[in-house]
Amino acid sequence: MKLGNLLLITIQSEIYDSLGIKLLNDIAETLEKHNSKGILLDISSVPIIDSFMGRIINNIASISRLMDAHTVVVGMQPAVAITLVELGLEMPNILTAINVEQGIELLNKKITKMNRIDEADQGEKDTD
Amino acid sequence: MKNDTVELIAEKEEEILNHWVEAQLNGNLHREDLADKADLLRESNLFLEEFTKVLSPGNFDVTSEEFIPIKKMIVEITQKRTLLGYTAKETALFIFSLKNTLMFFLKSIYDKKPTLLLTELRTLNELIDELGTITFDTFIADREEIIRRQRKELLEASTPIIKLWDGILGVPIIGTVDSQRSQQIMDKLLNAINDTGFSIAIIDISGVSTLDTLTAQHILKTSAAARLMGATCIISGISPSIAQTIISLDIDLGVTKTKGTMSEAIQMALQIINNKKEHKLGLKHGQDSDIEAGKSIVNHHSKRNL
Repeated sequence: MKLGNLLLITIQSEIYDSLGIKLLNDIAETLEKHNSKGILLDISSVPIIDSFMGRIINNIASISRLMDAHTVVVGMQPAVAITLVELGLEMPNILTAINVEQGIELLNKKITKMNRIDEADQGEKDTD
Repeated sequence: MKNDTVELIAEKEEEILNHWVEAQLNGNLHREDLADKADLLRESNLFLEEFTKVLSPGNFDVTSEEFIPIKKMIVEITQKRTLLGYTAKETALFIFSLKNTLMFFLKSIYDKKPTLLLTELRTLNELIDELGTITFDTFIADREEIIRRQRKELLEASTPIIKLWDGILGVPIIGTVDSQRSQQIMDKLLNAINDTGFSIAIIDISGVSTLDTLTAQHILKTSAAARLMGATCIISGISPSIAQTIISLDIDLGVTKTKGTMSEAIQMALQIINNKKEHKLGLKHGQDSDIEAGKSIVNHHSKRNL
C-alpha cells in the first residue's frame, strides 16, 4: 500500500519460503515504480518466524537501502523477537518501531535527515 | 491373613475402639489443646470402621481398588489435623498406635499358636505401616503445594514493570537473578512493551548483587529482542563487581545503552522522547525548523571548508 512517499506492507499470516521470495521481488519492483523513500514492514500479525524469513527481512532492508529507501520493521511480537535473538539473528542494521505510527515518524525523520545531508552537499558545492 | 483375625476385628470393633482411644489418651498421643476427646473418638471410629471394611483374608495390597476409600479418608484426616496444628509425627503415630491395640486382641485368640500369631501380626503391621505413611505423603504434598504457590507469588512480585512516564517503562530488579527469573523478566518486559506500545525500557539492576554469565546473556538478549520490537533498552545501575564480571566473562554489550544511575537513565529516556516530539512538531509547522536545521548544517559545513 502506498502512503505518500512511503510504502506500507502488512504481512497477515505465516509466510512460507516461496511467498517470502515473491514478497522480496514485489517490494523491489514497487519501490522502483513509486520511487518510495521508505518501507514500513508491519509484521504484527505474524505469530512465528524462522531463520529463512529472518534473512528475507534482512534482504528487504539491504535491497531497499541500495535503492535509496529505509526499511522499518514494526510491531514485532515478543515471541518472534525472542526467536530471532535465540537464532542469533539480531539484525543490527534494521530499524524497528513498536507500531505503524512510530514507524512513520522514524521514517520521516530519516528521510528529512537525508534531505538535509543532500542540501548540505548542495551547499558545499555552492561554496566551492 | 486368616479369617479368624478378620472376624475377630469385625466382632470386637467396639472393644478395639475403646482400647485404642484409651491407649492414645494414656500415651499422650492426644493433643488436648487442639482437639477434644469427642473428636479423637470420632476420628478413631471412622478410621476403624473403614479399616474393618477393607480387611479381608487375602487382600492387603494397598494399591488395590478396595483401599481407595480408606486412603482418601486418611488424606482427609491428615489435612484436617495439619490445619489444626498437629505435626506429621503425631498424625502418623495416631495410625501406628492401632498396632499395639490389635496386637493385644490378637494375643487373646492366638495364645496357643505363636507362629500363627507372628505371621498375622506381621501382615497387620505391614498394612498399617503402609497406611500410616500415607499421612506423611499427604503432609509433604500439602507443604510442597504451599511452597510452589509461594514461589510463584514471589516470582510475580519480584518483577514489577512500572510505567515511569508516558512512553517509558521501568524494570527495577532486586535480589538474586537466576535463569528462571531472568527468563520471566524477559517475557514480562517484552509483553509489556507489546501491550503498552511504550518505546523505552529502563532495566535497573542496582539492586542485584551478583550476576552470572547466563543471566547477563539473558538481559542482553532481552535488550536485543526489545530492539527488534522497536523499543530501546537502557540498563542502569551496573555495580562495579557486575561490570567486572561482564568484562572478565567477555560479554559483548553491543549497542545496549548503559547509564550509571536510574535518574540518568530517565534523563536520557526523556531526551529521546523529546527529540521525537520536537521532530513531530517540526513536521506539523511546515518544514521551517527543518530548513533552519538544514541551514545550520550548511553553515557548519561551509565553516569547516573554509
